Amino acid sequence: MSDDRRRELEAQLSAYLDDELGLDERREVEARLAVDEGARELLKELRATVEAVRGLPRARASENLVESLRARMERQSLLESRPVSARATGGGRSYLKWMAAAAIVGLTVASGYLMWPLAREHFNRPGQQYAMRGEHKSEVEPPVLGLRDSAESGDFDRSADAPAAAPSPTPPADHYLGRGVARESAEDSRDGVLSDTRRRSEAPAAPAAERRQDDKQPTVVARKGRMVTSRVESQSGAEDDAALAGAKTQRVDEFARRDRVAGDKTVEGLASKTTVLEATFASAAHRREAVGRLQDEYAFRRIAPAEEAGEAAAALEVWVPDEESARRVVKGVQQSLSSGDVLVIGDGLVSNGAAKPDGGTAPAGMVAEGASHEHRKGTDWPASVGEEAKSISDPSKAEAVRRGARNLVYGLSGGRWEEQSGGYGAYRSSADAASLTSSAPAAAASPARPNQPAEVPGPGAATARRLAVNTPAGQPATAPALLGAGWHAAPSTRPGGLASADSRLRIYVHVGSAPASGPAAESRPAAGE
Amino acid sequence: MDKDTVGLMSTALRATDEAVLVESARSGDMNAFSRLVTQYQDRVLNTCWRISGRLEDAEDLAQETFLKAMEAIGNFRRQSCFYTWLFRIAVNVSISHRRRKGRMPRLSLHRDDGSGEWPDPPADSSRAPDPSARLTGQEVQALVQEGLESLDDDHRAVIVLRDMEGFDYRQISEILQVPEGTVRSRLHRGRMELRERLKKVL
Repeated sequence: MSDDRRRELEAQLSAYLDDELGLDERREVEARLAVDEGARELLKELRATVEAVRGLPRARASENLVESLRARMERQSLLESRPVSARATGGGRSYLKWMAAAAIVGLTVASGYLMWPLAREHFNRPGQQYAMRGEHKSEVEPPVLGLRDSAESGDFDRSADAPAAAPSPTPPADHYLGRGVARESAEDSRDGVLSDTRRRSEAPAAPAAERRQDDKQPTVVARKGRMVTSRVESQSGAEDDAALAGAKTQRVDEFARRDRVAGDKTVEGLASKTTVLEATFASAAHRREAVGRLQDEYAFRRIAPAEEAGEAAAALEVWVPDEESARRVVKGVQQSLSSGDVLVIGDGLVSNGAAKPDGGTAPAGMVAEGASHEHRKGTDWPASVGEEAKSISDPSKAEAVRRGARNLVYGLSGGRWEEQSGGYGAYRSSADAASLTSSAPAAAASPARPNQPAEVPGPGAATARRLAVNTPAGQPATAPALLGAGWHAAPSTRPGGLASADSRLRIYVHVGSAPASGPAAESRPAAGE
Repeated sequence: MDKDTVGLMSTALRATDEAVLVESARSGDMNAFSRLVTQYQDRVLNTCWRISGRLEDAEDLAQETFLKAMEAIGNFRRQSCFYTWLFRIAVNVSISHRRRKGRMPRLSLHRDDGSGEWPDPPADSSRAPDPSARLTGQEVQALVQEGLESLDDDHRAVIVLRDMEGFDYRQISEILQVPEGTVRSRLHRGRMELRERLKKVL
């Protein structure tokens, strides 16, 4: 069979699968299939491919999407930051203003109209504390206990004032494992979230027998305490490359032991196979990314007792099948602290003022928006940056670039970040960077180990760190602007540390099966009780 | 009355309902528009997700889609169905977003994604003779998603619209404003490429 004929046949097979062939073509294909084993094999593979795509999980839009739309239109209408095009109607701008106003009212009314019956059903169900979501809720979605997030973050609380969705029956435990497809960002507003207060006031106490059963479940209580700011530790307890995350994570059985000693925090009844991590991400978006990955892969339940919320903007329980998986979760979270950062370093290269791949010139001291897979390779520093450094003939400059890159990788976790139109950048201007550089102790530019910045005492909080990008004033745009980086201690500009409260996350990793109907959560004493 | 007839009548009724809603929305009835939003929000969200590759962005993209639709509904000429027009916006918004953001690969917590990070423990070959046997459903899904993301925007869009959203070739042709033959060839090439990438696991 000629190549052309084969290609033609292949194209016909695809359309044949979709039942998009005319009668003649269909007969022709079927005749071919009857005699050509290769064609049958190809058809089988194409069918498997189609099925694989169809098998991808689906998300549901948040139930407050209409409400969010309303808010965006309201903002748009009031600020007129993005004037509505007059082309939309013949009525011109005034018509559109009226239309936007009508939309605000209309969407508000409609969202309440559409959601209220669901909410009423939800509220009328005694003891209903869990909400499910998803088109195939009973198969896909693990139970999620929706709770208010900290007031500071606000992002867990978007639907708290909106009527909640009707819950679905809770699936068996083995359906949870690894089936979670919803992500935190989406779940925040669609879970039929009940506020902590409302949930406590409306949910009747579990029957005594049920409570006794629940008592057998691991119960985790984190009492209020100071924010723990210990360094990253590996599973073995030794510092290792996970420390490059530059954030606060802690192995939890050790965490509990040490904290008891330190009196920082008490974790009671911690099951021996439960690991607790605390992580502070560079931003809430990074936190959501990590949580989303966890939710994609494990049975999960989101918890955020109000008492904890002051320390961790989100708390999540995940169930993993074995200790190896638990180890991966720990390492994964640790890595994600840095990998998430690396994702946003730059499109191909850390900007050096001249090396933007698109040929443009990035402002000195600025990190270009974008991502490169290369940047995620290795834990030492981005491979492509290493390559860039190699191309610099001056060894001292090359080393400076390497140092800057690896510190930048680290710095994205602990450094100061600005979110800019969907991307991130470290320091918006060279002046900003230079002002930091000028006060950065020189010793900080030579960390003892890659990705582990030297602890440099300085003014203000000892645990606060900032990335100082060495960008000499007046640096020509064509010369490397990012020559080095250093760390220095400085007072935090935000309460609770460098990252905002909504970037903190606590994760309880349980080895074992998820509870069949959420007894662990029910048995967990509510915060403050 | 047989089931098919009932289904057809139901579809026709829905189409009529939709036409009424669209007409009302065109005249400024935002209750009608919000009902259209509710009707399509999940499908638009999933289209945005799979084309943009990021669920984190998909909700924003879905919102952007509906905002654009609301702004432009006065221009909607009813020469095509509302949903084809809406999905055209969603596809364009998602592809634009993707091009703007560049590829943002996701790192799995559970699987070596080729970056050299987080390798799986060595597999016991005696207990796992088939490579696919070592992959969980989630891992296969992740591979499928990666495969999708590796496709050209045009190929990915047509696969998402066909295999995830279930549009037929004519509808896809209207959404993308390309001839049906182009839909057919794009779909074929996209699937062949995807098949090649997934050959070892399917």
